[in-house]
Amino acid sequence: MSFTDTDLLGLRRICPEASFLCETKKQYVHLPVLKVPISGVTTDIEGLLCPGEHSGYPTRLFLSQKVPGKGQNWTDHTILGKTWRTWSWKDVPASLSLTEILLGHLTALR
Amino acid sequence: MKLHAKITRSLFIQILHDLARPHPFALERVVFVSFRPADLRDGILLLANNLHTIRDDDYERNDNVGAMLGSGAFRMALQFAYNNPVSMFHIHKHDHSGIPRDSLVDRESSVQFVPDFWKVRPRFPHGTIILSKDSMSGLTWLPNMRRPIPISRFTIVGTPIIEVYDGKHSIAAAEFSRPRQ
Repeated sequence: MSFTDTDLLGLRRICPEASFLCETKKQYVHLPVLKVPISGVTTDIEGLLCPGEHSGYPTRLFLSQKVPGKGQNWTDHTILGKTWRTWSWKDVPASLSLTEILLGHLTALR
Repeated sequence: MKLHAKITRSLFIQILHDLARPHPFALERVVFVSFRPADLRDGILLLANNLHTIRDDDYERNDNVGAMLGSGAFRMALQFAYNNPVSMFHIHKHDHSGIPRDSLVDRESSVQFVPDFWKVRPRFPHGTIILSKDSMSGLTWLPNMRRPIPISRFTIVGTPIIEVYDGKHSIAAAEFSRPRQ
């Protein structure tokens, strides 16, 4: 499934600078500043959302850093020339909106 | 269609207290409150169930408005609506007596952010509520309706019960703005 700029509009409420990036025919959404509460403090983390299949998962959210104490089985991935961290979190289907896909992954970090 | 919002006295007190807290730079505070909607024969009943306080650092500096919410505040509210079957309402207070009306800025911003809640909780009503020193008003957006519908009746459930119909309340203003626990 391919998302368009219109699909990005809702996501920009959460990350105003969200934009599409592409690598090896995979579509990603770059989230330069994603505000994630860590230990009660809102922390700015760079994110990369893959709204399609990646490494055996229907969708994935990659972060620039691990979130201590949250998520399980963190792994490193090199995408767009940068190392990203992600955790094992399945059942966020690509049929959802971009906002739902992002919030579905962030559910694990609450 | 009639919309009736019910809020328990204890939750209403929490909302008033949170909105009254000073902020390091914002001139006013905002909260989100989630409601459980239920169908009535001639409308919708909205039962308030949770206060969602906005962290100090989730406000943004903006000299043109009293309070500007950042993306972290919306992420928190959208996350709750995504994980729970609720209607989300943005609440703030105008520092005057009488029926509060939304300003042009209020209306323009709510038209932009309210539909975002349908992206995570479609088919539910979402909206805005404004408090004043002695009254309150609200607007609810329903899916597939272009114009919002005013909340025609508010009930603060406690002792005494406070009823607000079309901005007019049933008891003294002092009781409304400083309800006792």
